[in-house]
Amino acid sequence: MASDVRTSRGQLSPQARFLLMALPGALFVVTFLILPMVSILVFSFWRTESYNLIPDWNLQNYFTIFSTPTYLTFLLRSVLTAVAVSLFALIYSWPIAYFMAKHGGRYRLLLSLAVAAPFFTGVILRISGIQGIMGPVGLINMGLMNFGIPPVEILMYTQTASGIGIAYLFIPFMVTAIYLSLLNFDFELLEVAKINGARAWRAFIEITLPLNWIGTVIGLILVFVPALGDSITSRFLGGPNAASFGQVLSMQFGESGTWALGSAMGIVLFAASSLVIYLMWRTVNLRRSGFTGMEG
Amino acid sequence: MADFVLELEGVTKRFGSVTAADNLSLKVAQGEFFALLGPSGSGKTTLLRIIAGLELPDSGRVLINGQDVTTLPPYARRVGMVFQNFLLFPHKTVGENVVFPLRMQGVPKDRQRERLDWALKLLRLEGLAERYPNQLSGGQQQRVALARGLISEPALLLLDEPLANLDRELRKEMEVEVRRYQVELTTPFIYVTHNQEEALTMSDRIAVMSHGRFEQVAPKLEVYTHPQSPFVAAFVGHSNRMRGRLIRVDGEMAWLDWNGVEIIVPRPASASAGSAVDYFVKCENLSLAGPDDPGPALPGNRLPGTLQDVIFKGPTADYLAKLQNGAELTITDAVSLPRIGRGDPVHVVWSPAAGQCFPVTGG
Repeated sequence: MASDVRTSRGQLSPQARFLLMALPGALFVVTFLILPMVSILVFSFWRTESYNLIPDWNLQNYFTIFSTPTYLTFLLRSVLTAVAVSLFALIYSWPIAYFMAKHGGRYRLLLSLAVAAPFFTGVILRISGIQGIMGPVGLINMGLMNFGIPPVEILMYTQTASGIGIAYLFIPFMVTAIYLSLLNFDFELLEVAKINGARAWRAFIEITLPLNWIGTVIGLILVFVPALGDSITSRFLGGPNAASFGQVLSMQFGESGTWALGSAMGIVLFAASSLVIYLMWRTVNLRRSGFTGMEG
Repeated sequence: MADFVLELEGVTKRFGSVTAADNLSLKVAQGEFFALLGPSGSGKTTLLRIIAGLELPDSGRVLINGQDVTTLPPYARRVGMVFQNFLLFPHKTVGENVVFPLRMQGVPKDRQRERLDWALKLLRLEGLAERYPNQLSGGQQQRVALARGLISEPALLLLDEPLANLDRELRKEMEVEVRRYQVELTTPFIYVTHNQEEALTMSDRIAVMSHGRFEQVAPKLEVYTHPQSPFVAAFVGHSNRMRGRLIRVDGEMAWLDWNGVEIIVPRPASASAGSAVDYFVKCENLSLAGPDDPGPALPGNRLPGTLQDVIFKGPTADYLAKLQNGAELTITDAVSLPRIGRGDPVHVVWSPAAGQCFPVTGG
């Protein structure tokens, strides 16, 4: 009878309220994550013929990827680039995030906005901007040539140029992840470490890094995953010899029209990302993360 | 070997317009339990941080065992420190926390284990070495912090309000324990607190601080019974303050006009008739008498009034007496004392020498 009372007062039952609140999130995940992933997975086992997907179950696409040396080269190149970029971003982001958290004071909010500022424009615009600095007619090389110095070859349509571009795009994610982690970090612990005999560097290794490791891992993942799948940056900055796996993948959905192969490449990319996320997460020991009240 | 473990020579530290340490000098010997007592903002924590090397003084020197460490970083000073909020490393187990200073010093592994066993035993933490700090009670966490501070046999241990976050019962217990460790180890402890009971319970000597200065540095009993300044008299113990002008002086004695009531006080040096003075008497130095009780024959103060209230405190009680001049005095006395109740006429009796009289400065 209680539910009658509630309905008569125009209120929902707790179950109904729960479902209503869970619905938007569930709908989002199903529509934009699960359905596309499932369709990609299904397509990857089909084949394409003159721009048509034909539901004819086979493993040919995966066989093609893993037996064609060029595809493997692209994949390896993307993986190596992503690793290098992540490590570079890690080393570059820590001091920025640390400075913001430690010395940001009342300018903290402003500083975090400054880090996010590049996101106010579109990704193409940002990459064009980088091109305007590093390219053959860019700021650096034009400047050098003005003084009769030969241009820096490595900045012009190379793997390195592409790597710098990717790092530029995703460093803000890493900075933000580490910064948010440091906001909850008790800097007094460093004084304790110092009194107990630790020099600054040792205190960082013993205290700061382990207590901010989750944030750091999240930052690494946020850089590694998009770096691995990057297609735009290498297309704009990398030149013909730096084509990435993502770039070749996107071609399958464009010019080539080989959707099935593209889907299989997407699945390979997804699997590689998942593997890396899994491996990184393995390094996190929640008991030793500094989060309180966590068992295990 | 130097005579003193810690020596401060004219240590001064300013933060903007605030002087947190004003030309402070101090010597602390081996085996001493030394308390820095003062209200918040008196500069006691700053002084402790200067000793630890966490702050650099603007001028003055800090010596530990005769060596000038003023500009040495904290990790080169051989001091241990215990903080109010424990500050254990949350990602390390109890054992790892305690052994941390030895690891940083590169002490061999088997020696580390030996010292760890010693420290865990001393602080009754056996069996907890594998726990994480958040699995411990507040008292256990504080003992881990103490173990970490003591394991490397520091020249001196600095304690910054270490018991302030514990509840009253536990604090009482820890006061006794901390004192026991100090006596056992003879390591000098510098103990910062705003809690006079803590300072009086544990320490040998007390420095009372206010506005970056030492108001008095003396053995605790002396600080309690013979305060040297009005600040100390008001801050240490529970006192009644009587302010007024001296009517006349005679040798060691003076007569004070306190809101129309005349009382006898010890004559402050350099005070004469007409001087404004503050007279402090600890509540337990006043006693109550019935109006008809014969008083002692000695010259003393005996003021008639009315009992306003009795505040039961356990072994003692606070009696609030309202005098004829409208002022109130608090008298701490035995509970069973008089069979008097609220509204009864009483006399407040005390000997002038039980209190201290100071000229009012700037007034």
